[in-house]
Amino acid sequence: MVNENVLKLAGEFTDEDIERIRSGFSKMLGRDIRFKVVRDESLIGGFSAFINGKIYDASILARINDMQRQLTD
Amino acid sequence: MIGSDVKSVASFLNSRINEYEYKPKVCEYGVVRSCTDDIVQIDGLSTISYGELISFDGDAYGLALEMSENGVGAVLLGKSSKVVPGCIVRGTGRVANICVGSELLGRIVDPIGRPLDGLPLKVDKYRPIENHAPTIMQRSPVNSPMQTGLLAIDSMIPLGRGQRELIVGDRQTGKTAIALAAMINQKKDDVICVYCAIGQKASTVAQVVHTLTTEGAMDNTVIVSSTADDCASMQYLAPYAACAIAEEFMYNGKDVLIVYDDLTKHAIAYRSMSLLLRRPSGREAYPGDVFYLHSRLLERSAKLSEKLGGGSMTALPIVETMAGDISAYIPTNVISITDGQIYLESELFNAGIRPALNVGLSVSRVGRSAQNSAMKDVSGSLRLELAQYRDTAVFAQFGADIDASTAHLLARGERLTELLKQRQNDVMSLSEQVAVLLAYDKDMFINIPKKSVTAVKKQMLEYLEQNCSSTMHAIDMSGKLSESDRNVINNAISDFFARTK
Repeated sequence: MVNENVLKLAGEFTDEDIERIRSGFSKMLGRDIRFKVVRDESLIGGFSAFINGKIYDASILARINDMQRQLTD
Repeated sequence: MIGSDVKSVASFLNSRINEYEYKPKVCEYGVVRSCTDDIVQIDGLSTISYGELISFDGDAYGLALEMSENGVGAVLLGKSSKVVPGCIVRGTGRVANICVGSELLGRIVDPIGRPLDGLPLKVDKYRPIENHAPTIMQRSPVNSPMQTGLLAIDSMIPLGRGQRELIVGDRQTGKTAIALAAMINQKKDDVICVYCAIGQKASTVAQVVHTLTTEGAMDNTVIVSSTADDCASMQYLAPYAACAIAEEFMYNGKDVLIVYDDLTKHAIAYRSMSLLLRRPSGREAYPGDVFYLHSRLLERSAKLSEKLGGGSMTALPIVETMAGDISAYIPTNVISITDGQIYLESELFNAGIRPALNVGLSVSRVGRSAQNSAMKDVSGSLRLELAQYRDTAVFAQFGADIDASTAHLLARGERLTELLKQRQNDVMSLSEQVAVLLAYDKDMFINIPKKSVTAVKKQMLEYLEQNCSSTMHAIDMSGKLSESDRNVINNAISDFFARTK
């Protein structure tokens, strides 16, 4: 499962959006990235990409968690 | 009034929220493969380091303790039912930390720094739980005394600041009571105490807190507690966390007394973790590194050099034996690490000799040089006398005719045994201890019936407090017994015994 690239999404995403994310990651990492796309409403919004053992988290859930950590410290 | 408070709180929160800035993070992740008995096997996380804190989806945290080609083995900190196979795990890039600082005084926290006494805790300083022990050059020899307030210990097995002295004995022999007395006695010496409960019953910890509170010693004490219902990983972390809290005080030039109660339970918690991590087991099924487990903990106690502020950490680890067997694995390990041991015996305890100290088997390897000179002057031959008495008493049991000198030796020994008895939590100051030993040395108690020795001792100390309190206080302050002080006290003692006749 760790070796599989997954894109988790929540909210409104069109196929073009997903393609933009895919090409963005391909450009950033310098190779062609293919995703298994999963809808996960627990993210609330945004996406998180699991690529090659790393998480690229751009979801609302991650923001909220991070905000909670910073504000309660 | 209330309205303006609400406004200021709201504006504070608003400013905090406005300051907040989100930076998207890229971090490594792994996936939980299996989770049994708080041990989690994880795929991925290939660049994690040993002892790193990992976070699971939800609020759970874990500690990475095993790296292999098949993934990472970790222990869960705290209970969580949310960790299931398929869960995402992230490395946090930091080792386990604990909050430290003087805000912790008078508080009860768990091994990861969460307050357990229901009050808010505001601390902004943290230290890693695992830390290197001070190096040779950072230390100085143990040279100042650590008074426990127990006459038997301060006179015959003296402790120094920075020493590690093991308290070993069967269950119900008063091990915790000795540590508690030592903690209570520190309140006047400005020594900070850290009490670490490892795998104890919650009721026992509550009792300790109650005792410290009623004796007024809680204000300079920090309690780190992991009770028997906490998972093994929390019990494993507890002494290291407590040590980190104590280290912070030590490196700030303070003197600290730390009690680990007890390391047997710590070793058992570590054993269960190691067995579940499938590490090879050795003697008594403990893993191979169980010696290192305790040596790296106790090495962190030290007397620091003047350059580093001269702080100290005195450790009183407690180890429980089974049926008096001090040659079991954990007791021998810890005995060889520490600078001496206080051995308590259940037979003595049941015979009413409390503290139930076995003087023959108890030693202090460094404390003698740190003893107060006042105590050194009066306690020189005490050990020898007590040993002679114990030997002779065995023979005297046969009822053989005994000559006058032997009878005298026995009478003195009996009185000494009585004088060394002390009620629980009843601590004696240095001057009181010195006075009792002076009176004993002058054979003042020899004509007092054995049963009333304790009462007479009490009266004598009250008499001294009334009649020469300034001399007594001078001894407490200086730790020295000058010739004139000695005369004053000797005269007062003679007066007192002349009156009681």
